[in-house]
Amino acid sequence: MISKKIVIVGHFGVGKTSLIRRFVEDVFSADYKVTIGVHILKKTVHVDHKEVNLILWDTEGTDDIEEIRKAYLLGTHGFIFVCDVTRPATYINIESQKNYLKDNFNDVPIISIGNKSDLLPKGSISEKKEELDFLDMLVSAKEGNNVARLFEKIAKLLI
Amino acid sequence: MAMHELQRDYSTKDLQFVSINQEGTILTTDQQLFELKKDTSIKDFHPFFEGIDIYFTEESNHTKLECVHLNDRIFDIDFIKNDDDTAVIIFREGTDFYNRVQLIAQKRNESIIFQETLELKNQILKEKEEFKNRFIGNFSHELRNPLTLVSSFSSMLLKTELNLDQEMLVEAIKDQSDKLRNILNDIIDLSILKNSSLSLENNPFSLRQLLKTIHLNYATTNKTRDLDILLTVDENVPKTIIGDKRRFEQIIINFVDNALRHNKGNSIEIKIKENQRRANKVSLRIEVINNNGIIPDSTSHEEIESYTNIDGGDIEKTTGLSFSIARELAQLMEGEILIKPLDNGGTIQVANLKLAFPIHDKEIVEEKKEDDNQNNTIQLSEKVRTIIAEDNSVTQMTALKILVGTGNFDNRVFTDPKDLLDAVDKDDYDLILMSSSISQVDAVELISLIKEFANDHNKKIPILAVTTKTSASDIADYRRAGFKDVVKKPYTDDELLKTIYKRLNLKKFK
Repeated sequence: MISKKIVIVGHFGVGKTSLIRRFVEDVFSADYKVTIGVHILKKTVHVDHKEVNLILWDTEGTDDIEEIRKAYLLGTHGFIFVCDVTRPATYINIESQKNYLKDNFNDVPIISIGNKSDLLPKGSISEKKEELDFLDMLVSAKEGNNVARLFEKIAKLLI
Repeated sequence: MAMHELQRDYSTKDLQFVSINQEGTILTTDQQLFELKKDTSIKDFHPFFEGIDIYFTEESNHTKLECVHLNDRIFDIDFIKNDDDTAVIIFREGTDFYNRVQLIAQKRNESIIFQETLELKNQILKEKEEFKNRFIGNFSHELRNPLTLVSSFSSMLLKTELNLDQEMLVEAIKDQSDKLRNILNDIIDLSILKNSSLSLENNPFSLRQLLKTIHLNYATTNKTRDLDILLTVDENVPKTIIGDKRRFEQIIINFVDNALRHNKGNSIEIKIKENQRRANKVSLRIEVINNNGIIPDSTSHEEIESYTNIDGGDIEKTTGLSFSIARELAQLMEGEILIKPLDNGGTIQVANLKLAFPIHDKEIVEEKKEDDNQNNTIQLSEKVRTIIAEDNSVTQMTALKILVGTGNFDNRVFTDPKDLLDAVDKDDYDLILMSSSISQVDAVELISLIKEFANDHNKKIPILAVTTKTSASDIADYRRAGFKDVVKKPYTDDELLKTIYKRLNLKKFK
């Protein structure tokens, strides 16, 4: 079976852990618990008639991606860059952060997503989507919207 | 490096040593921290080890991974590659230490996120406030043109022969449109004040004369109400004040209006005292006391906000609007406003204002206001050739009617800047009234074009701006650009004519 290491990065409090918990265990808790270091979880997905083991590295949130311990990122097959759509501070430097990953990790695929889409006022999603068009996807770990699709998408990119 | 050597170096009970081959099979292990079986794959122990192959291919022989969560415990992990394609993994238990670190990080992050959210909320509120003020400002400007027409036409109608019924009706229209005009000015003032774009003027004026005029106005208009309006000015209060006379007056008038509105007694007192003075600044205390009747304290932010919505068009409720203006003005004058109920059932309104005064304090004589009615008596033998540059048809008609009504003006209306420039080049005129913009060309730009392209005669004639932009800085801009004067919209017929006659050399036309 193919195994792929996916590292989830982004500012603190954007919902990286919630996203993985929603995907792996299908649970959500509104309580914020800071992640320190790294948690590693695994989930098998079926993509194009193939089984893929996604080894998900849930990293500690950082203001700057360069602060992540380098050893965590060795052998990464794909990155998911998570932002919080309600906090501009979490996506304001996204381009430079993505460029850093591209330059240092041999152009491995990066999917950038905006979490907490459930907090956008109803009716403003399409408007907000335009404003956040630098993101590949809007997801909600709380409501589960687009979460499975996100991991399927990255799995497809990797096989 | 042989495992027993490492164990010797690291000898502590919080460590576990595991040696593996390249496939991840456990060759040797102790059971210090957790149970691992020899000859099983370490990859089955935890997903963390599924990618362990990468550390064998790394250039460095020693890879350190700190703070890795494995089955509810936290470890620092050292991966040390040997020359014989085996490796030693050293686990160091750090659960207690990292849990403490987690608590600190939790507090820090929560506080940063809270701060960020707060800033964002604040920004959204500010944007909403700005939008509201802009909306109010624009809305009020739109109202000015029709209101100018209603106000000035009713004023003109009143000067004609009307029967008693008609006169009463027109008077009511004029009265209400004047009220509406004041409210509109208040709204615009407030939106300017809230945008912090109002700057106060700094001119000397006679404080006592101003107070006497205010007192006289109120005393005369309230004679029939059996109400005494008393004015007391302390002797040591400076005679001359340097400041914004109109805005200073606005605060006092607002107090007196408030007092009149809520007064149930038979007197209202206006008292001016000096709190203190330092260098050329004096802190004045203005008190307006009504001895019976409670004035609700609308100084709380919430109430002022609600007052800015003109409730269902109820004009009486807008006391709060003027009061908000007074409050903002007082702040601009480095002061404050207070309303306190008195034990006798009355209310005292207080404004403490910081104002400048000249070193040699003496009474200054101000020009007496000309009587508006003078406008009606001016008859010119020669007509004033006037250009009305205005693209709003309502305002065009208002100005035209007022000017034609006097019989003193010969008017031409221009709505296109090109035609206007053509005209000032070819023909001679005596006066130009110019709206703040014509066909999207700004008046300030247009006057510079006139100064450039007009014939020599027209370069010298007075040009008056007729505009809704009337803040001190706007007026200064117009003056700098070459406008002789500014007529504020909405205007009455008397206001427009007064400004025109003031700026024309009337002798020339008599």
